[in-house]
Amino acid sequence: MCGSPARTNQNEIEEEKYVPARGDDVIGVVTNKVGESYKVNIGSSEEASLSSIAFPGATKKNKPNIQIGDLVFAKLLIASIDMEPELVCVNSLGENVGLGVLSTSGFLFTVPLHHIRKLLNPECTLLKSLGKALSFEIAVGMNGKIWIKAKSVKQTIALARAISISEHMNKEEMNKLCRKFVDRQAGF
Amino acid sequence: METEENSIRALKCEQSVLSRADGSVMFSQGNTVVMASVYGPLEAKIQKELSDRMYIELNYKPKTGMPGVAERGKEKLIKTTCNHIILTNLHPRTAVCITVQEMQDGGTLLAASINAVCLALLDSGLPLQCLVAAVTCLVDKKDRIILDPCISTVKEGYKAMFTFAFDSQKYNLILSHCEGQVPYQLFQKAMVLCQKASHVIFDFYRQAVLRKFSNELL
Repeated sequence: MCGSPARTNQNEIEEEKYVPARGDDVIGVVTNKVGESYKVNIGSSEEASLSSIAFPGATKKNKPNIQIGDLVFAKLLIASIDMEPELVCVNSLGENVGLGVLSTSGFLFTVPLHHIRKLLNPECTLLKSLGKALSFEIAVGMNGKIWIKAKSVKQTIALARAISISEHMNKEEMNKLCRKFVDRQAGF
Repeated sequence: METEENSIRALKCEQSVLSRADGSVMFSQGNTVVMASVYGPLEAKIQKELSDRMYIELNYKPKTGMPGVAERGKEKLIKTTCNHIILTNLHPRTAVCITVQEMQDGGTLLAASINAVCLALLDSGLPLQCLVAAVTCLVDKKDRIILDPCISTVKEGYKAMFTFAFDSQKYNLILSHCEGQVPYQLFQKAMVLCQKASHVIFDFYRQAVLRKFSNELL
């Protein structure tokens, strides 16, 4: 007879360790500045490096102002088992594609990796349905981190809770959750 | 020379008991309770870093007192098994830290520790080549083979005690740890008995994983 998995919501956060894969968009925390690049913690076994000129419009003379502790939403350029992972905040043409430093007025929380994959699945309508109730900015990192910014603190926390608790829900339960959410936001 | 076809004792486990570990399990086999945790892949210290493989660090903690020579012996045996089942080539220059904590000694600590480590590795999501199941059996003073002895049987005295670990693909022997002196035929009989019992443990692993993922739906 086996025990059921631990169901305490806050504790079942880090089950699977993120393994970097090239092309993934991840949210990392800047931990150090080493020469011309930053060391970013993305939750994998090794910290990733992010060059200070890998930003839209950045040159050696014009670098972005990034502090230790800042959140960055970046894409993995190099992610192999033998090398240190490397992040960039531009596409290959140097254009701005929505990556970069995330503002401090947002809220970062962690979610299991299987849940991230579920949320990003085109068949999952949770984020779209929540977007009908409220307008918000969201960055979903493949390393299990989600950053949300809504108009008020209360709305931000409500959204974060809705996303966290939908972890074990199927389609019908998620639709029910969204309807309840819309009702609550409308004041019922 | 009779063989007592006992079955192994009741198996129970609870996965993901530790919030900060990548994989953890509280496992019990009869009265023997063991907790295992897996942290990894982690950044390895420069001295321990291996350029082509993952370094496996294993700690066995007894219930009371400081770890001594017996604990180091168990660590070596469990580490050998882990080296066989973990695909270490997929994470070079990293380390994995596995800790086994003895919670209650009900007789077959080495086998219970190996089984707990296997479940913790399953819980952590580290890539494995195969699973491993360990079974202990004892040859008592009357030449009877007793499978999965409890602590009282062990304390009565024995001619030999064997712990065997088998892989999940072809049920081949991965590890054999023997204490005592018996004729070779008896050793073979014990091994075959343990090999049959390992199927029960593999079924248990399957149930544990099914239970864990039964909630994941879209």
